[in-house]
Amino acid sequence: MQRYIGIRLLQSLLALWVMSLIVFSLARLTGNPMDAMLPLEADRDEYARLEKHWGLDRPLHVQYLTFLGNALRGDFGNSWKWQGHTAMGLVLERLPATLELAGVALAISVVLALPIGVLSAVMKDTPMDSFGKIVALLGQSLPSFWLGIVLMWIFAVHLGWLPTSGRGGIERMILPAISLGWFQVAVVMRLVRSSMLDVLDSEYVKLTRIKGLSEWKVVWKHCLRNAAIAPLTYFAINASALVTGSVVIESVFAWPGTGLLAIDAVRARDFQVVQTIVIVFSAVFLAANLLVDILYAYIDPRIRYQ
Amino acid sequence: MAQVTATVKEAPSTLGRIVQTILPSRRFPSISLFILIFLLVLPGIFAPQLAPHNPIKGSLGARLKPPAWVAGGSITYPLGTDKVGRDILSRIIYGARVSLSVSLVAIVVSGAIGVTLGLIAGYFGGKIDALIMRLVDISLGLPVILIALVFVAVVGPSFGTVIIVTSFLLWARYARQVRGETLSIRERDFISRARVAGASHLRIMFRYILPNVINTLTVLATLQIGAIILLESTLSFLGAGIPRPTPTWGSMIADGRDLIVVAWWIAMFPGLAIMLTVLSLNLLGDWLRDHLDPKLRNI
Amino acid sequence: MQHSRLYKSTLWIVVALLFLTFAGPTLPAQAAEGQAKVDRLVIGLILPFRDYFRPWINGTPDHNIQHDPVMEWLIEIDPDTGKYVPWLATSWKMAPDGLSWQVKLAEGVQFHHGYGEFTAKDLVHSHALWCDEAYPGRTDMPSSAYRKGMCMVNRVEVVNDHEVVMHCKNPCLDFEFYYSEGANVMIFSKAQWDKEGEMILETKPAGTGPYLFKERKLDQYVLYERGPTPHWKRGVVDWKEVQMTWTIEEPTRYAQILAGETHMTEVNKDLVDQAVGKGYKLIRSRGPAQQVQIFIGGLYFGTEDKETGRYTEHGGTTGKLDLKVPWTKKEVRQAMNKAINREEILEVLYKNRATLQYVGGFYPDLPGWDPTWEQRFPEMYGYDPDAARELLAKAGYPNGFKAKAWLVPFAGAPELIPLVEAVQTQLLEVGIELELVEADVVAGVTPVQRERRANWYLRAGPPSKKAVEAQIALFNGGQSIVHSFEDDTIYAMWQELLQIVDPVKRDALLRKIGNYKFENFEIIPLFDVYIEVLVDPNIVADWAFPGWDGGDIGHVWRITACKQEKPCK
Repeated sequence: MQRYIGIRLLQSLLALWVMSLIVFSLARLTGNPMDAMLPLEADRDEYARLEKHWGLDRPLHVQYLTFLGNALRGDFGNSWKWQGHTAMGLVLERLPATLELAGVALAISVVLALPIGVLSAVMKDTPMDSFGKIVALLGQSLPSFWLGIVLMWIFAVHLGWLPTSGRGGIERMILPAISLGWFQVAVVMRLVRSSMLDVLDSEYVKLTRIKGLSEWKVVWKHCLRNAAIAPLTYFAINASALVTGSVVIESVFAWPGTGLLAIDAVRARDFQVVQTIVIVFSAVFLAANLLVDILYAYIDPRIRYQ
Repeated sequence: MAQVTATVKEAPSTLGRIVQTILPSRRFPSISLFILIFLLVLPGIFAPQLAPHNPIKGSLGARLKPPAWVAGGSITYPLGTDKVGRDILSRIIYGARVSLSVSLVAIVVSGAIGVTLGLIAGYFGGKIDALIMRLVDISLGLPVILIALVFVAVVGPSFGTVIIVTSFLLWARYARQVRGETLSIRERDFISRARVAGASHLRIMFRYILPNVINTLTVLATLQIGAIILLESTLSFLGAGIPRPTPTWGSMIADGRDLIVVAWWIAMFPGLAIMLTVLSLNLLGDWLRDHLDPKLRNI
Repeated sequence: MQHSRLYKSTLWIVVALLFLTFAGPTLPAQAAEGQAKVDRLVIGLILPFRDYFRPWINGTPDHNIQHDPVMEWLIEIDPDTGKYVPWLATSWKMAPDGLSWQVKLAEGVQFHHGYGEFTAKDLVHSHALWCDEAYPGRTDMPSSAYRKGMCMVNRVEVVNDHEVVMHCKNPCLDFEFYYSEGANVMIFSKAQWDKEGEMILETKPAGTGPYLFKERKLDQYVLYERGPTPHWKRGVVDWKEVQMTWTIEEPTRYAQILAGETHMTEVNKDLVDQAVGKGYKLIRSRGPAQQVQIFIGGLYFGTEDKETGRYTEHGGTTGKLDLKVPWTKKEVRQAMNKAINREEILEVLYKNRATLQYVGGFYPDLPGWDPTWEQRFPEMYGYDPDAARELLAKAGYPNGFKAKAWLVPFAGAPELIPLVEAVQTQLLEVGIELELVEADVVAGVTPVQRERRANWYLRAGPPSKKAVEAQIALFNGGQSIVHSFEDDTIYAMWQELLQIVDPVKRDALLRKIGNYKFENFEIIPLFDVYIEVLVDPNIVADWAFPGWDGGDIGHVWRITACKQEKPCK
């Protein structure tokens, strides 16, 4: 078991390293950050002085090794755009906002998906099933930014029920979380539905029926158990979609999370911040994957010996 | 698959019956197919014949005209015009062509890569499998949209970059699915018999295993087209999609979002087009999944 | 039964939503008579340009808006006349040889936070922050597009606490511009710098303006609060607090003002028109502040001269000129100009709220203006597609030609994209096929321009109003990456300009340069535009600002509150 964990850990670290390499080279190739920082009218002397100051005149591999060395000590460099802040500091500062949004979005999606999934399973092949599928699929068929804009216009401007943008208080979280979370509803709903179908078909339930006990208790108990496992099982795919979605949604709703930070950083050619964000996200994803794999290996020993 | 009977079953209401006719779950989703043909396939192929106006050349005098049924609109521009005076309907028709071509090319490219790697991983197992699965993990783990933004910032936006980005995102799903199936198939009798008979690895993979995996792939591909269309629109929204002046549904929404109050039609119709297309694809994909291979319930 | 469950859960969700919304935003308080109706004025801007306070780090004049409420400059640009008027400097006089200016400073101006009176030493300090490469206590190298101009002054001689003589290396006739709020030399307190060092400027900068800097939330807003009276000499500003928020998405900005979350904002003209229809008010800069024009690439006619330094920057000009590019011929440039229907674009895209531009960098109220341009413009540049085709045929392009144009999104000028698209259509009428290339400024445009490789490209841009010499230096003298129309004649004229001391002679030479540009069809000049701001007339009565002070938007202290019951139309 330890061997398995060890191997997987090593593989994850390797993956992380590869990602850092990819991101580093891409970021460096996007052009001179000085071009982003200085206005069009700046002259050559300004460029040269600043380049030297930031160490951008050194060869690429030297820059990478410096970066790697510092990173291992936890220093991911300073931001260019946000003077006086470290790249990691910025990311950590903004991460809670994104996690908060993603968490609420996931929660909303589960809250919506549960009843729809259960009802779809119980009333399989009836109009309810179709209706449930449509609602869920609708979430996967709408561009999330379009949904966000439309929701903002209906609820914030025309009806005035909710604020338009920004962060602070539950009321500001609702629209962005729905825009972000609706996409997940289909995935979770499908899981709930299929596992519910399994349950309904199982011997256990049939026995309960024979005994005359309320079927609903069993159904709901199993359903709640699924609710906990379902998002975890598909965390990988969910997570990528959530990250992708959050970048766009944060932009529409001016939500100050890492997604918006990433867009700003890419636009401003702030390499240090872009690298840090990608590495942090990748690390989180890899760590989560690792944990899930270890959990499964624990439960099912066969996996370890593959 | 045993029929599951719910203990409480109600007679379908009128509304229910209507819903069931329009959107059957067991019967073939003909409406979806209908929508797809008219919204995606026909415009994609016959765009020049179908579009009433030039989608790229606009006339400033006709800018921001509302759809024909709104006051101020005219039948010349049935769905209105955008901020440079281009006909929305024509742009949507040509946009279908872009969506169709991007989707097909991206699926072929990512499918080819993903299926091949998945077959190899599942078939050979061991270290090769581990390596490929790590690649899959990396691919799924990278925040693709960020990489896309950075990548596009390097090479500049174009049809090619959108394909590359999309393939980069999607190949891993094929690989993972195919690998899983290959793992189970390769233990079967007919495979070992083929090996005994001296068939090469390549032959076994592509002649024997692949056909059994096609069902899964079809479902996956159908579902992925929708994902590709959405991804393209997201990239356009962020400024990293197919560049102007090529009309794409995504860039139309991006262009129209600033004017969503004064000219809602610019962003609304392409949004509806995306929604209907992707929804139909998803319904079709669901039906395929239910009918081609029930094992795939859990995708 | 299962229906009831579904309905129940739905009901709970609806109830929860309703509860939350009514616990939401509260209405603004009723106005006390004669006071602003809200305590905090919220301005919904697009970008902060720089999200920190110290202006010399990657400095840009656009950043000035954040300094405007807190800091002051030597010279003010009067919004109504566009002239330079006294501010922290009460008078300034140029020496006959043009190499120094005698400047008298205002008395009785106090710094915030008790840092005493503004005196000459603070000016010396503020100048050194920009121009002294090794200034002790300052960690970063100062940089700004205007640094060369600001640091033409190489020595500030202190005569007494309220009088200095500023000495220049070379004749510095544009001193007024570079020490006005159009450039970056805002006055910092030397006493604060000595006592608390550099970083205090990020949290509690001591300026002399009416507001104190209160708080910054990265990427979200900056907040100012009114300084204690009677600190500021010019009176009391209307708002207790001013907040500038940053929102990139235009529909979100628009939604914010409609929802009352901001009281002023910048949005595109179509939205402005709709908002005005709903009762909002449009406030423009008092004068034109930018020129929307189309730069023609590849006009690298200058010859490199290593000895004098002419056109040697960014790799020089040797081998960069490509005569195969059709518009290297003057007739073709004229034809392109005559193919443009400016009136149509002006009416449709600018809603007739702009005026025609004649020459790049020249404005009626700046030196060098030639009143004959207005009469000569229709004949030389006016819309005439037939004449355009004739000119093209004469130049050897009877069937037109193919070229490219960059489409670069500008956050503050969204109409540039439809503008280029409209120009594309109009040029097509005379046979010129433009391929539109969507490009990112940093990765796509800047390197190409810097290395003088933009031979086949057109680019639309809105350069802001600045000292005339500055624009010539940047666009024609090779002093920036823009490299517009460059040739030896204009370089020589510019060099001569730098040595002139007599304002009358300078005016004449500027006019000569302007005519040279005009007659050589250097660019496709389009419009002089104003900076437009959308405001809620219930809250804001008026705002007088010139528009070409740094950041396009300044004079925040001239935003007056609406103090009557009815909206202030």
